[in-house]
Amino acid sequence: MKKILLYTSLLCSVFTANGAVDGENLNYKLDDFRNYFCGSWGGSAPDILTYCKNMGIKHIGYAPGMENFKDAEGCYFYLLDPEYLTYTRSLFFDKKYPKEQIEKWARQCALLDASKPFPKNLATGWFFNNNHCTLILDYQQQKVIDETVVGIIKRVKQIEENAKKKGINFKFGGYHWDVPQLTGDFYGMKKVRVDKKGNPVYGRRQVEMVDMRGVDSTSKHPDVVHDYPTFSEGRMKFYHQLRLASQEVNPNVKLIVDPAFCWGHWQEHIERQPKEFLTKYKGALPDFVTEEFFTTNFVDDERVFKSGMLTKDMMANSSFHGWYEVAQEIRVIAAAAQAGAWSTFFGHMGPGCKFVCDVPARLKLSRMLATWENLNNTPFSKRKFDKEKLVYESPTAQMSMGAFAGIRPQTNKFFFVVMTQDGKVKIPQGYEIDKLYMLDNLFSPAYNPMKKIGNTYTLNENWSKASTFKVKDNTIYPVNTAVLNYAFMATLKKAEK
Amino acid sequence: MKKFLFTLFAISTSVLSAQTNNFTPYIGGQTVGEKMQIARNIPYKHVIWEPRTTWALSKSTEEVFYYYIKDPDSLVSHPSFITETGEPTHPNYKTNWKKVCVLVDEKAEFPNNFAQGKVIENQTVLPWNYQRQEVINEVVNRIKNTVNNINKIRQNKSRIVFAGFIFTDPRLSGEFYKKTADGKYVKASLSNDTAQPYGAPFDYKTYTEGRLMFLKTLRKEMQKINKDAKIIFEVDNLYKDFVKQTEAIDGFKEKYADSIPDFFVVRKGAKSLTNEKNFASGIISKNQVISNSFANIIDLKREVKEITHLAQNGINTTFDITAENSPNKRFGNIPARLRISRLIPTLENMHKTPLDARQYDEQSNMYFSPVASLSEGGVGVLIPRTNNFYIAFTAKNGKIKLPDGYTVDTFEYVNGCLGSTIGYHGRKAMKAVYINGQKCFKMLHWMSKSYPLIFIEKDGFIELGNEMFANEMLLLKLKKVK
Repeated sequence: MKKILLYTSLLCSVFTANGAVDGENLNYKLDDFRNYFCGSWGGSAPDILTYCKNMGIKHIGYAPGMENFKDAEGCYFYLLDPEYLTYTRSLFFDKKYPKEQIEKWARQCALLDASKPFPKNLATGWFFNNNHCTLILDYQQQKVIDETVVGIIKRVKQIEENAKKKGINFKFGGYHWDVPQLTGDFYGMKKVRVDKKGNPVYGRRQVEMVDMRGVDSTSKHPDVVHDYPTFSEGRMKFYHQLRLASQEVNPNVKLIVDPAFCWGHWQEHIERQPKEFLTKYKGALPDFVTEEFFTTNFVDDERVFKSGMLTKDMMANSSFHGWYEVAQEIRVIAAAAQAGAWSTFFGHMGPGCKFVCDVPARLKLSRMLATWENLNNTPFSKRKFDKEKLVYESPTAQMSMGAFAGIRPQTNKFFFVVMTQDGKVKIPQGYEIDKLYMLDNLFSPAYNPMKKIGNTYTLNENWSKASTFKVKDNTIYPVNTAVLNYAFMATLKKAEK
Repeated sequence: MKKFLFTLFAISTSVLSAQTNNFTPYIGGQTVGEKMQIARNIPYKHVIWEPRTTWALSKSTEEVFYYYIKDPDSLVSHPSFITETGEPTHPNYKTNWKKVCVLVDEKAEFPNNFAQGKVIENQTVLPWNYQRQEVINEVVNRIKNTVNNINKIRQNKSRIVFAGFIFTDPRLSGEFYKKTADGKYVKASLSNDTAQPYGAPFDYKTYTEGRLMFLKTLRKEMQKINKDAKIIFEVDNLYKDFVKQTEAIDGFKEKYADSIPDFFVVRKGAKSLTNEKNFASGIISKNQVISNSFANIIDLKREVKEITHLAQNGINTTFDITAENSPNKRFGNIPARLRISRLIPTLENMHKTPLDARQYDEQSNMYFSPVASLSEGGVGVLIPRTNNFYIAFTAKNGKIKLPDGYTVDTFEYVNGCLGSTIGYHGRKAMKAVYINGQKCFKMLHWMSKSYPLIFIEKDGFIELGNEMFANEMLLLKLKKVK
């Protein structure tokens, strides 16, 4: 019954031709799974948890060890690319492997040409460097799917169990995939250009089996059975079967995909499958799509929403490129907010960046804002964006080239970051500042609340009384360049009449 | 306990000119890996030891690091009780602890019969009674065993060498605390500077004398392991926390020469470090003083003045981010400009920049030298023996002076540990382009839409190209001007 209900909800969630949602009668709850953060690649688990706690995020991409920290209490974890937890995915070309491992890979992983000797028989996935690449599972075998799903569920239960032993309520929420396209994350040599003499120049690029073998199918090892004629069908079956198995642990399990382009790397793959697959493998259809690319395509590409399978409230942008492109960041976040979509991170939080502390405060705040607009249930009609001036404003959030600000949903905490000397932040109408805090890089208050002298706020420490901001006409202005690009938080109270 | 376990200590190995001391910074943070990254990038060679240090260092056995042990007398197994319940952490306290700890009221119930020390996590430490030589010998012996055990571990994997001890908040009269009515812990002293007599007569009349004898004994044993090892005191206020106490003892310098720490790391202020009253008694000299302050977290004007004062006096600076002024005890939480400015006095000494080349322009409140530049608008410093120039702007009109004889080749983003993050973008993504004859540095990544201008090089200075990047740290790769 639960499964039927889930599919019904997936297919019936506010279907409209252009994917738009009713933006005037929102009723999001704080525990909505799209209140989601994932900055987990190589990062520090306690840092991520502390930042999420400060931002009110309950659904978090899993980083090893999270279950050991108290800040995980009440949160849900999402395993990233969970299949990688179940087999030896790394192949080092300069390393000698035992015969057993070589044979195991030949039967378990996608092959490019079964007749060739190791390692040329193997299809290669993501290259960490020229000597180190990922091997991809051969989803065309039901046996591989079964073993992988069992391995993933085992890991899920292990994490929950570890948390339980520590007395921490840290529950399984779902999965999040990078490069989720049905054709697989394969890499191979591809013609990339023609040189001056007209000769083709090849480079290593993301490819599909069809590019390398002429068909969407891996090369079959003589000892294995291919239950699915195409790699795409096998991968779809894997997603579907994993959802069903995971519902035994969490009936509300969510599948999230993070394609670079939501049409070309995901939805187009789904729509090119035979129609019956949409019923047969319904569980493969994602609950949430986070687009990696730094454009507004995730809400503007009409092809994505035409079939009605995806709606804009199922979409988010997960790019970190706003790190150095603030104007585009405003456009992307405003587009998400106006469409009722979401904003988050996936994997890295910046170029080569592992630690939350290293991410500019403006980006850590802007990536919250579209999500906060939804969770604040701010009507779409009040989410105003001036494309020319690059100014976004609503009763609960603001963005301009000078400052970002937003109210953490259903609290009186008003976070802001001023980026330029002439930047300013409007205090939400009807409110005034109760206390003002300078935050650390995880957005926790770093010091005592500031002291207000006249209309100016200063640090209130025995070692510093430096001025930070002044408030005039219900607007916050920086009075010290040292506050630029740092995060602050004001607790608000109703303004005295 | 955590405070010193999670601290890294780094000391420059360079031999400095006569006007400066030969001691430099220590750095704290949450993970050993992060701290080792920082130590390598600056680069320093001395680190505070903590359990995983040897592991972190084992990955680069070609490098030699020197390690210090922080608060060694607390690190060795110490009498203590559960703060909340008053329950002793060792069952034999009744017979033994009265001899080894500081008894203050024999008639009182445990733990109030003892003088109490720091509260570390959920346990209250009972300080050692240094009025007995027997206790001093026992503690020093345990410390020596700790060093030997570390040395045994590291011999297998990494090349780290014992370099000495650092004591945080040390008071010669003892590190005692009492709980006030509102539940806070405040510093306390022993009545008449002595523990209550118990058993055999004390070897030393006062606790202060016993503490000094402990330091003397420790130094003697320490130098058997490494004759160049050092003892360092980290204090809030140099005069109040050390000098004043020594002035009260007749003939202190002659009597306790071996007990005087080699260096003093001072957390508060910059001007107070060079105050003549610190040195009037001749017990310590300016060469033994190091600054460690994060007070100017957003006070740029004062930071310029303080760094200028320190640099012009040849005094080194350090990073102890476990200190109270540091937010969240993370290196990445220190503002980029402060991470760089706090390096300047030390790196000036490592560069052996003559003192008269460390200049200050009062009108613009700007410090500059052949290798560094600091103003309210921006900061930059050249890492010795490299072409690496770390910078951070703070204002749109900020200017940073390039080191003499250098021009910018390329630039890189850096993480909180000062490590390059070029990996994702590739070095080619960040390079110079000429716009109207002006040398501009842009982000040219293929995903970028606007190719934002990061900074401009002009007449030996660099200027911020985009205010959005204020307060972010960049690593400029320089090249010599032909």
